[in-house]
Amino acid sequence: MALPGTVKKLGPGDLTVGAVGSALDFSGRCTSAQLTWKVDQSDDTPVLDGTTLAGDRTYTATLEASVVQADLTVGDLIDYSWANKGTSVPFTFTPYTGGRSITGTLIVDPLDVGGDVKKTNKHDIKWSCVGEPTLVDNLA
Amino acid sequence: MAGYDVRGACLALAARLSDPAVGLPAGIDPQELSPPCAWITPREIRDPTLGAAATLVVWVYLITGNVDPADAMGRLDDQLDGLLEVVDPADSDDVIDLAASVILPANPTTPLPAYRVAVDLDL
Repeated sequence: MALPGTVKKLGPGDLTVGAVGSALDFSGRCTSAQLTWKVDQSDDTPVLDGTTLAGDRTYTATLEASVVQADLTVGDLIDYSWANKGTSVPFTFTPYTGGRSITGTLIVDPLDVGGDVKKTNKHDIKWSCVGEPTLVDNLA
Repeated sequence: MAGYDVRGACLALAARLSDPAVGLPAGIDPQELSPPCAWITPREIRDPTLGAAATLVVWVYLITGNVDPADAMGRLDDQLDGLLEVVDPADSDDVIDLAASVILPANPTTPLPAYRVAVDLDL
């Protein structure tokens, strides 16, 4: 059976953090975005009958993005990340407008500020998800 | 494909430079320019964002009349100061070419002294 869907390049899409109605959309400054998974697996256990019991697997997700640094305006992403550091907030990542979205909850870590002089600097965001994000339809 | 407004971004920069506060007559059509002036010409679109924005790189030619070299250099220095009060050189091309020269349609036989600065604009 052939795979459904078509191959697409990332964007245009949306990336927001915060509750519905007050979500901060920073997709306009986001030059890369991805939801990454990491698996932690405990060791397999051999048993007397010669077989092996598979180790437990634990999955964790992280929202990663590169965002162009702005001018520290009140309400921008830096301001938001400092004001909400350590806070669990909802997020939505829509890779392609009109397509499915990824929603979940993540913990905001404060963004670094600065970089090279006379250059447009970027933040590399790595915000850990709380629980597992889910794919949903028709949010964007 | 995103609906990029290259022309609009160039015209917006021209308006900022032409503002009396900066005092540098600027435009995108060399036929409408006479020195001292700035000619803005788009070069490339790069660094697209998830939200369909991007960076437009333009070249700004700072042009002065064909006066003696020392006088031309002084005038171009003043124009460069005015430009750099408004924008920064592009990340991708932050070298300012001091040996550029431009032939404007109004005077097609005479190369005019010019500096060339690459500038990043938001799209």
